[in-house]
Amino acid sequence: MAKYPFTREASQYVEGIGLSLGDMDKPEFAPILNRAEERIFEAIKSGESKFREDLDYEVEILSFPVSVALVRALGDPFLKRRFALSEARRIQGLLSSEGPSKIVYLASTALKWKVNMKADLGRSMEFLIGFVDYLKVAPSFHDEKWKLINRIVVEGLVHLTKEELVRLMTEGIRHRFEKIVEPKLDLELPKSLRERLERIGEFLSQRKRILKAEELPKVAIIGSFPPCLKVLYESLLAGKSISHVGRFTLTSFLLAVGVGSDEIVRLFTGLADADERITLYQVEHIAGRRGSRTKYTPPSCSTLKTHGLCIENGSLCGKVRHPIIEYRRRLRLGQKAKEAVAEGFEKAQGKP
Amino acid sequence: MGLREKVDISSLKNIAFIKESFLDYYRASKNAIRAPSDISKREFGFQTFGDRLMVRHRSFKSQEELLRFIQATVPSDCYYSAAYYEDPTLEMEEKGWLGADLIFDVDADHIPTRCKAIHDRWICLNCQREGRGSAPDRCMQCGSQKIKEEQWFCEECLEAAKLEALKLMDILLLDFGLSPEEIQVYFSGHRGYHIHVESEVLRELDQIARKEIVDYAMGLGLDLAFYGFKDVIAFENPFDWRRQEGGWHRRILQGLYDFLSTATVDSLEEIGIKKVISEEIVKNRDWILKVLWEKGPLNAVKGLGPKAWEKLVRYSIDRQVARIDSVVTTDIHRLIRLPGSLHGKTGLMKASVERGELEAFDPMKASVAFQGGSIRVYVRESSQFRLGDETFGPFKDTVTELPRAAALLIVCKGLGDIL
Ligand SMILES: [Zn+2]
Ligand SMILES: [Zn+2]
Repeated sequence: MAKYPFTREASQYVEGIGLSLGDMDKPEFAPILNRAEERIFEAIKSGESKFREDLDYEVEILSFPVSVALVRALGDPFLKRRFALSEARRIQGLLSSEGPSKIVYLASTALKWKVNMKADLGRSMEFLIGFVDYLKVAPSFHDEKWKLINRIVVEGLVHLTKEELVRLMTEGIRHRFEKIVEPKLDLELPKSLRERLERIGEFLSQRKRILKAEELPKVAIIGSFPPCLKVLYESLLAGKSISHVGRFTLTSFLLAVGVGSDEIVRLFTGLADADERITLYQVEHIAGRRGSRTKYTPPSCSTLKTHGLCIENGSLCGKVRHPIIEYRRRLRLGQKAKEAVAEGFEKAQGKP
Repeated sequence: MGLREKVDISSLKNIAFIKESFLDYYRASKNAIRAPSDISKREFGFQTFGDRLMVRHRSFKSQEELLRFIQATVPSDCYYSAAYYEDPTLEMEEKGWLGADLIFDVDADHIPTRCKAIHDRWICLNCQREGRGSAPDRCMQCGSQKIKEEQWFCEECLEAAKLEALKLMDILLLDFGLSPEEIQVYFSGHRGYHIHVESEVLRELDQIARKEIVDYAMGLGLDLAFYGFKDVIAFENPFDWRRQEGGWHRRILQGLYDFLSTATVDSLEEIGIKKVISEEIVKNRDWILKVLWEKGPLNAVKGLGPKAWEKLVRYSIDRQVARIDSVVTTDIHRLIRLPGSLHGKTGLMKASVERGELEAFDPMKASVAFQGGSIRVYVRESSQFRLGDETFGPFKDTVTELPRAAALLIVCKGLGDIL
């Protein structure tokens, strides 16, 4: 229960205790508030919250709804996504070490998925999931292996390894958490929570400044990105899922304007299904350091158009046929570019 | 001839005849049409005769109300939404989408048949150039995109469409585990089949999920690496047969087996395998089938290298994919022809196929909406066609007496006039 706050058991437990946010000013609840704040800080910092086995069981359980309340109260879209991702990743780690029956139990009760173990264990594909449930989540992963046609599908069931099922569940849980933190919380918060909220807000904007300064240093002027790449870049920062072509475009563009592959990998690890190893491989592949050793250039405007990545049919750009040329054109527009930096930054922050 | 003359489908006499026939049909039986389930949550659309207007966003409470409307207005074509809406009469963004049936459209348009080169024709409305077969995107003479297509449908086209529908059914039943009760197959009344899947759980699938199902059925994005063809160059263990448990694994193996059992040197060469290797394959056919059957390593077959195996595998996949119109399935707001209603281009009805009877189904019999009659028509030009047990034509510049259904087909197709 402490591990998996998304289960019915956990929410029943929380309800059973019957606490309200108003009680939180009492000193005995300080550990819960501390842990709730920590969860959010972890989300902002590393994008992965850790399970604190050392903490009191009750603290671990109760701190989750409190941190949800804090995220909702702040209402920052970036934080919402980061928090959902971070809590989901924490659960991914925990699920990986569970036995098959526990995993099946959690998937069928908490996510209400049709999941089963296969009768003939010992094969690599140990689990079965109903294709409808599979399709709720898997299409947001871009790797070819998640395409339905590349799976074994028999009698409505998709065959999965344990690792794959856990990955799917994590994504399902992330969706769930995103929904939970979505509605704005319009309550008058008790003092203890208001204080923490302020701290979190401050840390968040600080962190965003660092992120911005760190992510794409010196070489790339974000404000001069053509609109299509600006949108891709901002989606990436916001932790949104980007299509395969979108990723390829962004990666090859960043490489072309002089951003190092390590920096790009760091950028990408916030993505929905990013695995650092795979991302590194993909980035290096595009950089021409792997596989065919071809260095890829970003797709042309017409290619971007066919993939629906072009913004407003190029009306915001000069008469160019390639995003790199538009980038250089914008760079030349000196003063205007500087204004664009400020504006681009505002957007990347997800400010309303 | 024929096409070059202005096809005068809007002539009043023709329209009067078609409308009168349609009205007779819709009046003859309370069950002329089959209303969809949850009728009040569906949007209906109708195409009118003459000005070909599309009337949309209509809604009905019952089959009787719907039929009364059709009797009163006599549309050329009737459609309903695959989707369920809170209020089907509002604009698209405000309707409140609640879900949609899963619909597949198998149309001869999407299947390359040899007969099309004979019976399909087109004419450029700009420079009058005409040609046979499917229309090009642009006229090769003047580059205009204004091209009028005249599509016929022959038994070969309809057989081809049926085969695709059967392959799709196989995938829906075996791979997706749908129950036969959830699936209803119809002949569209023109060139193909519609497969409707109504199921609570499938209703909520979004466009992306539907696209995945389409890709699965059409074999799009299939990566052989996930089917054991990991390393074509090393060619150590091209198929991991132990994983061959169903789905596309079974299908690929079955396709290989079927093709190799009957392949000739010519048919192998046709799919791009060298003559020497093709001869080797035919000579060692039994041995190859044995290797396949007993799940042996494929490199056990001498002379048959990884490249040739890949060609065989690709071909066997190609033979088993279901060619469907992907847009129809992924469009969750799509309007679908109403079962039982008449097709404005043929006067044939959208006829339902009894469960399990698709293979033996005769579309040119089941969809005939009128029996008897004798109508004098002038036919400019028409290929031969069959309705029920009777065959008509071919016609060219002929005045003739035809049963009502045949006359209707000629007039709806714009190939002749009522006299
Ligand atoms: Zn022309
Ligand atoms: Zn044909």
